[in-house]
Amino acid sequence: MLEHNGKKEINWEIFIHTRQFLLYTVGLGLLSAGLVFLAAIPQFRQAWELRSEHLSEKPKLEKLKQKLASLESVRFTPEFAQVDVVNQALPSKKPLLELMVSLSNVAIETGAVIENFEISPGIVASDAAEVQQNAKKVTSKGFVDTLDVALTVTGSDTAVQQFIREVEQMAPFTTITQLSLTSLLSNSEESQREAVMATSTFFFTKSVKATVEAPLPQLSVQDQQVLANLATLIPSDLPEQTEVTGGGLEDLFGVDPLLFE
Amino acid sequence: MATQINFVSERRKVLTKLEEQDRKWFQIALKVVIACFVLFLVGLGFRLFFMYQVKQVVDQQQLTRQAILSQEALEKEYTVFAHKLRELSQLYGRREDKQEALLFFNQLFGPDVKVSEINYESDGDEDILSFTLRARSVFVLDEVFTKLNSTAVSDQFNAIQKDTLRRSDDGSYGMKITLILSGE
Repeated sequence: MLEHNGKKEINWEIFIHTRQFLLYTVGLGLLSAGLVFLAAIPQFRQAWELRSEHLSEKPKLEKLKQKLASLESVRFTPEFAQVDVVNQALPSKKPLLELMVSLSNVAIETGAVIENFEISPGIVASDAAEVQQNAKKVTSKGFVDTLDVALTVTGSDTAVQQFIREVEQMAPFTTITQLSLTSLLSNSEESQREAVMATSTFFFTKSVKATVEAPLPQLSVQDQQVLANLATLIPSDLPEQTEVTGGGLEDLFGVDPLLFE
Repeated sequence: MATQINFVSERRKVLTKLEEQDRKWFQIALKVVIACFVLFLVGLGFRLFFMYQVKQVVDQQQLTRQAILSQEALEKEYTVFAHKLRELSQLYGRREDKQEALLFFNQLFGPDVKVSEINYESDGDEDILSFTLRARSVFVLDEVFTKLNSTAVSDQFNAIQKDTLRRSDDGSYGMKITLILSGE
C-alpha cells in the first residue's frame, strides 16, 4: 500500500498476486448467490406452482373419471331403462296427436262419450313461433308448458267417473284443472252424468345445457317413486312418424288447372 | 562468508498467514458453491417431477374428456331424462295435493254433500283449488259449517276461504270453498 500525496493507494498487481485466494473466494461467493437467487429459488418456485397445479387438476380428473364411470353404468340402470316411459309422460314437443289418441282410448275404454272438444294447439312451428315461444319462456315459471283442452263428457255415472279418473292416469301427463258435474235426465236405470272439464297436458320446454366437467344429475328417492308411478300410466301407443309420404304429387282439391288464351 | 539479511521476513510471514486464511475461506466458499449447486439440482428435480405429474394428469384428463364426448348422445339423453323426471316429480306432488284435498272433503261430509264445480289453478308459487259444496238442506249445511270450522280441517289446510253461498230452486245450498295448497 503506497502513500501518495497523503492518500493510500492499493497496488492491484501486488494485491492480486498476494491475495489470489481471497479473490477466488469472492468470486465463489458471487457464484453461490447467483446460483441461489437466479437458479435454485426459481426452480423451487416453479416446482411449487406445478405442485399447486397438480393438486388442483387431480380432483378435476377424479370428477371426470367419476362422470365417465357413471356414464358407462347409467345405460344399464333400471331407472334409465324407463326413458321411453318418461318421454311419453313428458314429451319434448307439443303432444297434440298423443293427447287426442289417449283421450279417445280412455273414452272407448270407459264407455263415456266426448261430445264437445275444444283445443288451442297454439303456434305452429315457424321462425315467428320460435321467437314468441322464447318470449313466453321468459315470463313463464318452470320448464314445462301446457296444452289446454276443454271437453264435455257424457255417459253413465260409472263411465264418467272412470273417465275422470283415467284422464289423470294417461300419458302424456295430464291434470284436470276445471270440472263441473251435472246429472242428466235419463230413462235408463243408471243415472246419466255430464262432466264439463278443462285439462292441461304438460310438455317439456327446457333447453338443457351441460358441460363436460359437470357431473351427471342424480336421481332422488322422490324421482324413483315417480318412476314407479309412471309405470302405471296408460300410454297413447301412437306410432312415431319416421317418414313423410306423399310429397304433394296428388291433387288434393281436384281443381282443374286454369288455362289462359 | 557473507551474512544475508532478509529485510522482508516479517512481511513474508504476514503474507503467508493471510494466504493460509484466504485458502481456508476459499475452501468454505467452494463447499457453499457445491451446496448451492446441489440445492439447484434438487429444485430442478422437484420441478421435473411435478411437471411430469401435471402432464400425466392433463393427458389423462384429455383422454377421459374424449371418452365422455364419445358418449355425448347418451349424456344428453340422460340429462334430459333426469330433468324431465324432476319436473314430473313436482307435477305429481302438486296433483297429489289436489287429489288428496278433494278426497278429504268428499269423505268429510258423506253422501248428503256433493263436491262439484272443481277449479284448479297453479301459477308456480301457489296452487289454488276451489270447488262448490252442495248440501241437500239447511240442516246439512249447518253440519257442513261445523265440520269446516273443526280442527280436523284447520290442521289439514291453513287457508280456507268460504264464499258465494247460494240456495237453489230444489232447496239445496251451494257454497264455494277455496283452498290454497302449498306450491313448489
